[in-house]
Amino acid sequence: MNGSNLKRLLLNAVEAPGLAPEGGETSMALTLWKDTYPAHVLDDLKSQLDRWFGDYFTKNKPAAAAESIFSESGTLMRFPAVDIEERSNTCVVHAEIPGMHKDEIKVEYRDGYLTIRGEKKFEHEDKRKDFHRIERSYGSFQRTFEIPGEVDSEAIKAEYKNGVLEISLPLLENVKRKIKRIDVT
Amino acid sequence: MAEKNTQSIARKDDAELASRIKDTLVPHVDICEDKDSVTLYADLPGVDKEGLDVHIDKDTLQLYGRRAAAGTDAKTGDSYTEMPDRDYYRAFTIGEEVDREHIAANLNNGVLKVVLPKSERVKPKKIVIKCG
Repeated sequence: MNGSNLKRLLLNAVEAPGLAPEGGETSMALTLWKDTYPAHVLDDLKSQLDRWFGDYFTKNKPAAAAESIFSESGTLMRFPAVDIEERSNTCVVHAEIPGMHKDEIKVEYRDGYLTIRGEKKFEHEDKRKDFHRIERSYGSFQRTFEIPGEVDSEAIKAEYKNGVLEISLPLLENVKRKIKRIDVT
Repeated sequence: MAEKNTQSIARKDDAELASRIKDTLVPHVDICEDKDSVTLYADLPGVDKEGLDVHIDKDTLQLYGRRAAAGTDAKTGDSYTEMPDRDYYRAFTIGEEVDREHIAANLNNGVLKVVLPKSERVKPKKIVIKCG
């Protein structure tokens, strides 16, 4: 593999059709995040890269998604991994952030965007220890998600348990998407 | 402490274990050592104390974690997922120097810590030199 090949592929991926956002889909309160994220356009690139890198990345890799340098859902691996779902008029976000203290996780909702951030410090009690393996992730992280629909921002709840952060964002039931027609004069 | 090939365990042991560790995730671990012990940290987000099984059999340390069920509400709308709904499993070979009677495990905020103390006979000893 050489650089120009990769560059061409990336250019192709960017120019590929389907990147333009689809209009008119207004019926669902929670649109599938994947649809608006261009990662699915990169599927071809993903399979190419996996083929090129082949065993190099996957052979001795104990990571969760050892089959691919990408995660199973086709997006690049991100930290923390999240699940977003809509259940009984609530948008529920789960994020896997093991080994934190609840005070170290910052959750913020502003103008329709939910942000999770924090820093996982490398803090082993005894600094003089010799390490055989360091596979766990450390450092700062931040992820932001668009939460479609009207969220009752006063009633957002977050709970950290067993290394998983759960955020519940109640959606205002009676606020339907208002479509205002404007007459052209 | 070396990684154990899970396939070989599955073949040797009973079918129940083989089916249990099929299609599991391999948790990330940190392993460090000092003069008294070897300590292992494993990221097991979503696993509670009840779902955790740390097992030592002869020279094998096996970690098995079952995810706690995330809520009972049925999904009513769309969902997007990056967290695979699978259990965790990983096995290691441990050496003779580990004192098997005093292994301690502790689960906190999705991180398992296993302390494997070294037995007295392998610890470094200071030899006093007598003059005379």
